[in-house]
Amino acid sequence: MANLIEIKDIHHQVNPKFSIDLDQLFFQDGPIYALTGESGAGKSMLMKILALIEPLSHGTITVFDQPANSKKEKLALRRRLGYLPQEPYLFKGTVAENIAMGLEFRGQSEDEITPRLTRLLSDFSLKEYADISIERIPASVRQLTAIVRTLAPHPEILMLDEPMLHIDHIQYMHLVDYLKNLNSEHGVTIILSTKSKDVVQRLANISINMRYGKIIRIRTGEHQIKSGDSAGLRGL
Amino acid sequence: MWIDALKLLFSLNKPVYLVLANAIEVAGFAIIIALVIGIPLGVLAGFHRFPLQRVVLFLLHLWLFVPMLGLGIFFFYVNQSNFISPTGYILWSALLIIPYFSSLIADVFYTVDPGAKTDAVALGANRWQLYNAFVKEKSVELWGAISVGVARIFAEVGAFFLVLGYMFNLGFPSKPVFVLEGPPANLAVALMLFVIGGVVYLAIHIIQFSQEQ
Repeated sequence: MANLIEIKDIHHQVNPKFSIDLDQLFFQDGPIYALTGESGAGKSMLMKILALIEPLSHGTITVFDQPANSKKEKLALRRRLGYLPQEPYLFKGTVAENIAMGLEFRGQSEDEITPRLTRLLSDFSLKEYADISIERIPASVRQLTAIVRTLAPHPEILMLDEPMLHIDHIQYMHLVDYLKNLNSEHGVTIILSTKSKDVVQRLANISINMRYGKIIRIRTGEHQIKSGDSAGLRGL
Repeated sequence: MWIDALKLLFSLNKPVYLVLANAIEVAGFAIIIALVIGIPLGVLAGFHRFPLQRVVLFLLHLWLFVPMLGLGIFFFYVNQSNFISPTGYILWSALLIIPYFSSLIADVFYTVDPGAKTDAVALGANRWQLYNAFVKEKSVELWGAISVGVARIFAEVGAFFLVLGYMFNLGFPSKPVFVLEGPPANLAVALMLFVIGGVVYLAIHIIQFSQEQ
């Protein structure tokens, strides 16, 4: 399996009392990864680093075997990724307009956007909300809109930070199935951060447990992986 | 008096329309120049975090408190020859109002939710798409800032030219403030200008409202 994302010698000072410290970590093509740990463990910050949102104070990151140093490189790589922050922001406008944003940023035409939009609205039962302003929709639909917006541009790696927050049980189950299908049928590698054991059990092939900005354990299924093997952890 | 104002408005009285044409031409050009330069400067000053940003914002805010009259007279003494032409008048008006627009717009962008920027960047926005997204996002506040700036350029920037006109007998082209304070001043003209201004702002707000819907 090829390495999709590889980070080395990361020391990222988040604030004077907290830093993310990783010697080496890589994410390979195929599995669904879950970053787990308590609040403040550094999951969200690691997700931001992986999504090329947070500039590193020290260390290197390569995505699809390409360096992500200049702004141009980062932008090109970012357009192949999908990242959902923990508290997503929806822009003024309708649900459909929000979902189309990533496609518009990639320069897609109306002819390309419309069928994709129609398909996604249908897949996630959002048709009835398509033309409604985001100020007038329930919290669960807001979260779902943000998730669908992240999925819309067909990302090769999907990173979701606490995606199941605010959504109801039916949407939860549907999203689990959708993500499983996306991974198995379409080969999209998924990295998600979560505090929910249920999400890990239902979705993750590999779980990476964090504490105080460091990785303390990696598990695949029921087995704990030691440092340096296929999950990609070295230097523990 | 209101009837007199409306009569004036629809009278096709040539001197009155000449005053209006002058006001629109001179102040209008100054506003356009100030907007073209002031908006991007304001976006740059407010949108991204950079060292000494607070100092830059402080200086821009300070500009809001500077009496335009004193500043204008200072500029006049610095470079008198450039003032005595409509072009100079327009350029100096624009120069005075650029930091004013920048300040108001920087404030709008300084308060953008950092999470919103993260989302736009994560969705693949390049620098211009990012600015464009937030200009749309903050359109109501931007219209407000522009409206205040436009009102001030009409109301205040002209004041120092009026004083200069008295001081040096220069005979500059008219602005509304000239009309109100100069020899042809009367309340009907003032009300007529208020009616025109009101109609313009109403039109802006109707467009804004329809966009929001």
